[in-house]
Amino acid sequence: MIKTSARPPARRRRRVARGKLTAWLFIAPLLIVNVLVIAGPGLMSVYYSFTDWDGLDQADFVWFSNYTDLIGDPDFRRALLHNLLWTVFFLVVPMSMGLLGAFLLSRIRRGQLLFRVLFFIPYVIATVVSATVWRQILSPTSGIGPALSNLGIPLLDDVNFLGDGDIALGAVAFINNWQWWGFLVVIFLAAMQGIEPSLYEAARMDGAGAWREFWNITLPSIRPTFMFLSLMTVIWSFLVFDYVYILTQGGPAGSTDVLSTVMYRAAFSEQQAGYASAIGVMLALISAGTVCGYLYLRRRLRWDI
Amino acid sequence: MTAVPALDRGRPRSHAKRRGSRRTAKHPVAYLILSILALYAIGPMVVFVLASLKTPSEISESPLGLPGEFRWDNFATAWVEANMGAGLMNSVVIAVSTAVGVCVIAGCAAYALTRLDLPKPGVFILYLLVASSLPIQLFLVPLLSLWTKIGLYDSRFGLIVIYWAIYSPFATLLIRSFLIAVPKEYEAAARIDGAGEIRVFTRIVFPLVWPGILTAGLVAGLQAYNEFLLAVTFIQDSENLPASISLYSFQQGFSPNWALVSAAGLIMVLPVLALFIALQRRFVEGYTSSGMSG
Amino acid sequence: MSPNLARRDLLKLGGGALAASWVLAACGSSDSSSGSSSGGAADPKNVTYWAAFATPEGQKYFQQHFVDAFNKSQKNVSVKMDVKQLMTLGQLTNTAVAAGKGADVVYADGPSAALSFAKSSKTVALDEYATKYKWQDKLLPWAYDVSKVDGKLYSVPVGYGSLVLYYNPETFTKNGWKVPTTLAEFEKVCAEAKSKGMIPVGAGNSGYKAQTEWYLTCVLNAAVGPKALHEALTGARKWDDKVFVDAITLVKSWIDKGWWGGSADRYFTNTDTDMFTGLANGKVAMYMSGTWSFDSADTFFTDGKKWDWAPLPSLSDAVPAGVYPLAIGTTLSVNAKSEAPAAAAEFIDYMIADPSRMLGMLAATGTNPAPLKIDPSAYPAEVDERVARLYKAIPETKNLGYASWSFVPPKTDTYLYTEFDKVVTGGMSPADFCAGLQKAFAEELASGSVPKPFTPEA
Repeated sequence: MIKTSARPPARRRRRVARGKLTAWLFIAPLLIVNVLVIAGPGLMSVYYSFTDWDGLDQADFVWFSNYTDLIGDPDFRRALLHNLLWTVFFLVVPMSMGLLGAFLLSRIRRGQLLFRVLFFIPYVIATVVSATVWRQILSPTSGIGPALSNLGIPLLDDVNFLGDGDIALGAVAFINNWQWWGFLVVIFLAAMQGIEPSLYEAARMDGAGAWREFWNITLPSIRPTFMFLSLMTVIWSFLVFDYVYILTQGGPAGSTDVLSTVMYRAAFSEQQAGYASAIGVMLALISAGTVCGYLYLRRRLRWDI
Repeated sequence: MTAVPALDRGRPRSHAKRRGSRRTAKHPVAYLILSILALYAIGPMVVFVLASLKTPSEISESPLGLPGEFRWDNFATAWVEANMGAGLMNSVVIAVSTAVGVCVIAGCAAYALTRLDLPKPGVFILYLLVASSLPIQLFLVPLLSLWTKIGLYDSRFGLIVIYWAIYSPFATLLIRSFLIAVPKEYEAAARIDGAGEIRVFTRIVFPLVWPGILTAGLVAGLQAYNEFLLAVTFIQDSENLPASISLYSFQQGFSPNWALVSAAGLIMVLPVLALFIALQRRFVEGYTSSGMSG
Repeated sequence: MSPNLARRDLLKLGGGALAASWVLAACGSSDSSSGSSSGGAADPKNVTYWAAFATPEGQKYFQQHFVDAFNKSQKNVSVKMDVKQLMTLGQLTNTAVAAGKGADVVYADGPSAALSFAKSSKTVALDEYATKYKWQDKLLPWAYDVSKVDGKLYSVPVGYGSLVLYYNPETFTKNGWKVPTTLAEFEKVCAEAKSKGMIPVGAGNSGYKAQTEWYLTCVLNAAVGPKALHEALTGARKWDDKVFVDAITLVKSWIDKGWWGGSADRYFTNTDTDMFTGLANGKVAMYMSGTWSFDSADTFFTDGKKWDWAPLPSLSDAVPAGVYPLAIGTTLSVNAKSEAPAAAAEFIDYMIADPSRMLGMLAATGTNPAPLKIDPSAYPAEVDERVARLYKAIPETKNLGYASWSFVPPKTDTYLYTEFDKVVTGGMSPADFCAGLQKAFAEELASGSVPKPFTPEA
């Protein structure tokens, strides 16, 4: 199992071997279910991405033609751009709101429970319901715009958030953020529970204000969680589907199309499952690239996550 | 944790909790910001609750206004028509099994990744991240035929296994990120005292990252609770379907009856909210309850 | 890999290998119980059927009068119906059938979807049963023809309807309008309605993108006419022909005037519910939509308000007024994996065997019936007058047209309703739209994906 040039004493070798076995046993359940459900069928998708499979029967091998089609497809390129914009938005807005909420919550005691529940409620609601509620609120005929107008505030008159191609993507992202940031609060707060209170005590003795405490203690202490959530934000931003699909289905005229809606349409409406598989593989490749880039940075900068 | 002075780590500290409570009163700005954030979170909820008491026409005409008449019978109609009693029972079974399974699977895996002698943990992490970046819609067909072959199709257990697989990578990496933040000195001491790996895990490490594990389990359970696509694809027998189906069951011709959908949505939210509130105190435990501090 | 590997074999290959290597790991106990939905060989034969309904009343009625009644009527077959959701049943069936599962009686949301199953041998030819149960004598000829693939019958249509002009008689009386039958009359109502701040023609695709094809079906049939459409569907006329470009240009001009859905951007936020609500409260003047809304329209018209419908007006001089585009919304086939195909066919026959059963459901719930040869006098008095008027009118008229989702192949159909968005926003010209349509259609025509359209009589 292990090869070392200098033969270690038998007892130590046995212990190391047993340690390895224990490690494998601990991680085995995860690997088993994951390989069964994701890796296997995922590899099938890779195969399909080289075929012209229609989703039902015919699957002729077409080599890379799906991929070359992808590169020339303006819908794909635009969707990719939207995913990138989405990533930037989600790395900035919800992360800041999540950190702010969690940090403030960690500093108060009275009412902490209440706030935490209030922040988390949007995350509990099923997507189809919250998306619809927001669609009603943003309706140009009966939503917030006309309501303000009735109150004499013509601020949002004739703003059609989800119907105007220039702002629809932002509107969908805003709605998704509404559900998302509270989730980040809960996770950041859980991470902040692990910070030893003495660190703050020490800082306070040095006369540090809230801002400095946040930069010097809170953020470094939860950095593993922060980095991890940033990484997941990138991955999830490329997978985003639910809100776009329910609110606009990629419309108006593709102005909110993201990779997953293009993929979904190819697979289920246009009977181009092979092409859809190629989009899926591209998604995974983009994520793999991001992760590798991150791992490289980590090694370079000697981060501990 | 290179950024944190090592000498501060691992030393038991006293009175932290009591001092913390002194911070309460002097944060008017904090309370102001938190209140604004809370308004943002809660505002649309009002629209949601009102929608569950209207008719679909009223929702279409004035979503922000009060209903002409509070239609409490929407709840009864939604409950009966979508057979939500049975659906919620199934949802509870599925969500709880998912949450518990994910906690165990991910907790063990994260422990192996951070504390045990696993070769090249970076490769595992890469694999987990890439695995969670595959869109599940894409391989429904291969997965369905595999599930049929191994007899897991059309059973709640089969669905739960899928949830375990797709929700575990995130949970594993989340718990891992919490574990990294915990200094290893505690366990080292226990190991020197001759404690086995299982004992170190359950007695020392587990209590320290309990908020993380609980959060991971809650997230997985919630996702399973609200999940629709996989549930409807992998369970054929209506008897075994979870309550999330009911959100898609109220048709009014080609459009959904949003009044009933909202009512069903509210019915689904309430038990989760109750659970979340009940678990609240558990989330704030950590250092304070692990027995490691003061 | 063999370049011409059929998917079936691939699944066997891939799935088998996956199963072999992982089944041991997967909690050993899961004994492969081949769990086919179609049940064992034991008597009576079990048949599964997945269905979705537009209203709960429709579901209850069907369960009682079709499923339960069928199970009681004989001892050989036992049908179990699993109720799915209207918006997901199509995709769900696709996924399951592709994986070699699914119900014995396979649902498809129209002949062109049924054709895909047939072409990939997921469903079986039904000619044997068609002869046995005399389906050709029961079904309307156009419906029977469109269900055939390469001369063999693969599906049975069990629900059909058309598209009509919905309006609120009260609104029309109040404004002194008469229901339009010509382009000039139609545009006059539109102009007046717009000047009064109403939405002249309800339109929108929020929530269900394919709603666009309802409107386009209306316009193409009423402005281009069934004859030109038939030529296009058979390849004799190109889709980028001037008549089609003109029709799309006409719609575009209405959108720009704010006649359709209120304005271009509103098109993307209006829902079907909004349009019916608008009709009821007088904010929408007219709405061109499908007769599948017959059973739910009443729920929007409360407090004594009434809806009514009229045949589509003529939108060009070349087309006589009152065209009825024919739409088959539900077809049933028999799964190739079924262990009891004969039993499944027997159940399908039960649905259409006795027209009075179908008419009973029409009377009780307003559900669109199967395209059966029915004597006009056979309609029971309980059928809503507005509903009966439609189903009596269709067999009498010669002016029948084509609904896109029944007669246009899948990719072309998707093109219709996704790319039209760009025409609405002005990002694509009507000519370019039609050119793309022709390109998509030509490919599918060549691959044999186009259902056979009936020949227009007019």
